[in-house]
Amino acid sequence: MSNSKTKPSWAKRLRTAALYIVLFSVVAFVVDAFRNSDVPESVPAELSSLTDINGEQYNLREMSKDSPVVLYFWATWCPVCPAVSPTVDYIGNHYPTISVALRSGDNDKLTRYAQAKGYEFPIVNDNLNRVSNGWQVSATPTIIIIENGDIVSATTGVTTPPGLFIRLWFHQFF
Amino acid sequence: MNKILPLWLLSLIAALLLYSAQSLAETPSTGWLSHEDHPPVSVKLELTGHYEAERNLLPALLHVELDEGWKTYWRSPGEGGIPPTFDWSESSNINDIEWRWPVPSRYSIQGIDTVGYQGSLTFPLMIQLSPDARQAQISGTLTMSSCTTVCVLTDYPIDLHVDLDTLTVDSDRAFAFNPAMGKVPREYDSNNVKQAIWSDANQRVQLTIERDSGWQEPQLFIHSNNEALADAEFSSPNIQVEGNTLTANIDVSHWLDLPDLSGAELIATVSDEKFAAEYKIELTAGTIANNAPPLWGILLMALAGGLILNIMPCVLPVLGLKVQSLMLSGAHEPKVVRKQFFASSLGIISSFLIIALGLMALRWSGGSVGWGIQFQNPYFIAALVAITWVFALNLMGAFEFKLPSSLSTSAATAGDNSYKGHFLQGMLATVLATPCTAPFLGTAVAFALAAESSVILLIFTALGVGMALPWLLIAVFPKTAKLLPKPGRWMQWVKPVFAIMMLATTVWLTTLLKNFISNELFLVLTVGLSVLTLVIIGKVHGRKALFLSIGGFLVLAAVVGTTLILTADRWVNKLPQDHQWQPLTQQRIDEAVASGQTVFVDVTADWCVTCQANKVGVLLQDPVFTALGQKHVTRLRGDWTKANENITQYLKANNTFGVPFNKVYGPGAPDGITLPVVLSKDNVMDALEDAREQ
Repeated sequence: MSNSKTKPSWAKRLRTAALYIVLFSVVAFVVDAFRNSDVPESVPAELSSLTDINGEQYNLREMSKDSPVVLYFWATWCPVCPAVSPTVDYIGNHYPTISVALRSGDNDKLTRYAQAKGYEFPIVNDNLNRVSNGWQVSATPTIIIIENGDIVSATTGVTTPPGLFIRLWFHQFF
Repeated sequence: MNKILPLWLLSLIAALLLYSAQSLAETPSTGWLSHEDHPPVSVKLELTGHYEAERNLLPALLHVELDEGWKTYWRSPGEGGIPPTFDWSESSNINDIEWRWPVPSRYSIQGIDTVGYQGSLTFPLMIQLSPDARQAQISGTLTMSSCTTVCVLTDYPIDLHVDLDTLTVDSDRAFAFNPAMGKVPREYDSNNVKQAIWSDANQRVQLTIERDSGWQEPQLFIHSNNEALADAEFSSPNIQVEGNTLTANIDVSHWLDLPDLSGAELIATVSDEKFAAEYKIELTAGTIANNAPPLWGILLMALAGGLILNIMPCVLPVLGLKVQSLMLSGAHEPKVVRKQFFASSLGIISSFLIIALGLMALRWSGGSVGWGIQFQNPYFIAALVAITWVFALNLMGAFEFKLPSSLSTSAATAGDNSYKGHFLQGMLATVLATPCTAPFLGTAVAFALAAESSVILLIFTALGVGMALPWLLIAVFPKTAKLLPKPGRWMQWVKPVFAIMMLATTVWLTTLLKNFISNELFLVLTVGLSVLTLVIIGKVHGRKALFLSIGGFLVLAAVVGTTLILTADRWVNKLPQDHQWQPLTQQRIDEAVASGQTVFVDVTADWCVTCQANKVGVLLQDPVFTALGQKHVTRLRGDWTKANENITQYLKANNTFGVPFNKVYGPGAPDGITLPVVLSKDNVMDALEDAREQ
């Protein structure tokens, strides 16, 4: 029995590694399956620079060189979005995150809405759908992950915090 | 040249004129419009061709087709959503376009309540021309929101030219306009609104509305044309009906600051069976009496309900399990006894929490919830068959109870293994004994299922503690366990008895499966399980034991059978063939009561042992049996063995969520008399009598 004490630990490690590989393959597959084919391959040049409701400027291409960037399309009129926004807000503590609000009213309304809901992510007001049209995004909530100026993942619908984290990790390390 | 045109030429000209008039005549329509980026939604705006000259009105129809799963919204869409809008500012000679909103439905998306429509729907529109205009252009953008688990806002360009001189009626559309308008609520006299209170302290609106012909299952929706209230959210109302009076409590919230609603004008849309009304309401500031019992009262009820569950007939299938865990624990030290009983209690409480979590998940996903509905699921029953069978085999000594191997080695000596066993027994006993309601339990569960998640967990914990109370008592005072019989050789003889009781539970659960599987499969399952059980007994205890048990079983069956046959005339008469029952519907109740009948409603399920006890003990016994058979009594039965939305709705309307449920209606009691969970001959007879008398 004394021999078997060291052996399982190796087997265990191998098994764990295999498990991770399978897990990540599944995640990658699912991400690919969900990938929105309409979304461009890389950040559109004219849309790389975005200005949020506080006048802050963001350059997606520059930002995504250091770490994956999360671009979140949402709207105040979307009943599903409140289920996803807190996740994105939380992710914002760990990865650069920018949100685009589709046709959701003026800056003042958006500021108060975000305050009331406690959202801290920067908000780009897209009241005329200029940004979302450029990105070919028509449905909310949509989460796009950008890395080195390339769009590596685009999912529409409900996302859970672990789901989003796994996607980000996957794209950061693989 | 001839002054008079020849007849043939005249007729030709007439024909041509008629033809050109026909070709010019039109009933404008956009045809089906859909956006390439969003195929699940298509819209069509068309005029009926009628023109109401007096008010310059053109009735029109806006058809919307939504693919399965997609929804669009009402004028007050609830949390989040946005209603469809038509920006017709590019039009000419148009004074106004008025939407008429069909009665909507409530949907829950990811736990968020929205109000809207699905499938195909038609909004009647009233397009008003400018005075004296003969021609007009209807141009603009129609914006439709649609959601599944994603939301899309889509624009449709609208362009329709109207020429009153060539406008002709399209008979199909003119006809379709009527049923479309039929779905739009009509404005009713606001005198029917007896009270409209705004309580600033509760942030709640309370409406009291009367209807001469009474309420069945009313739905209520609130809208405000007030700009300041555009983003106010009116919660799904809590509606109570008493005869002709409906009382609705609606919580109001706003993502920013909610303005003071006193004096605010609202529109309440109320729909019921074949009824759709709009009431104009002006809120007055006031206080709302809190009718709901306090939480501590409900928790007390939950405790009592849980405790009473221990002595309901529903506990029958697990009686063996419970008695066994009591009797076989006298052997140990107080310390061990305490831990064992604590483990059982924990098992019981965990089961209740699991049930609570299951119900919360179901409610969150928009499913209908109820007490004991786990027994409507064949997989759940199948799992229970397997578990009880393993327990029974274990009692027969077929194998020792083994838990995940990592635990068992160290735990076996410490006796911890048996605590796990006690924990599992507690869980199993609870899951098996909770399909039926009990006194107090119904009220507590109804309160819980309408409350927020934390309250559900609190109440279900109280139910669990209530049911575990006898176990907890022994755990707290382990010396009481000394009152239990001392262990000894007799235990070897008692164990098979418990095993047989457990097997009986397996058999009972297997018969429940019969409702869900084919007869052949049922037969295979029964024979297979029986043979397997015998083989295992044979393997463990040897052939001798096998033959002994088969022989014993045959002798027992023979004795019981003969006794039953010999005494047949004593009890056969007592259990007569049940009456014919009609399936339960609200409509049947209404019709029967209207024609002067007394109605006895029995909501039951095969898996509800208390229901069977009521049936055998009261409904099939005289004087109740004869009374139910009378000509003036209509018998309606709701079978809840399998999930049935109508019956769930009926139970919900009666503020309960489980079976058994019995109610008597009649000319003397049009709103019905609810009977206690455990029936007695007296209360059934009294209710039948009271309901009959005008």
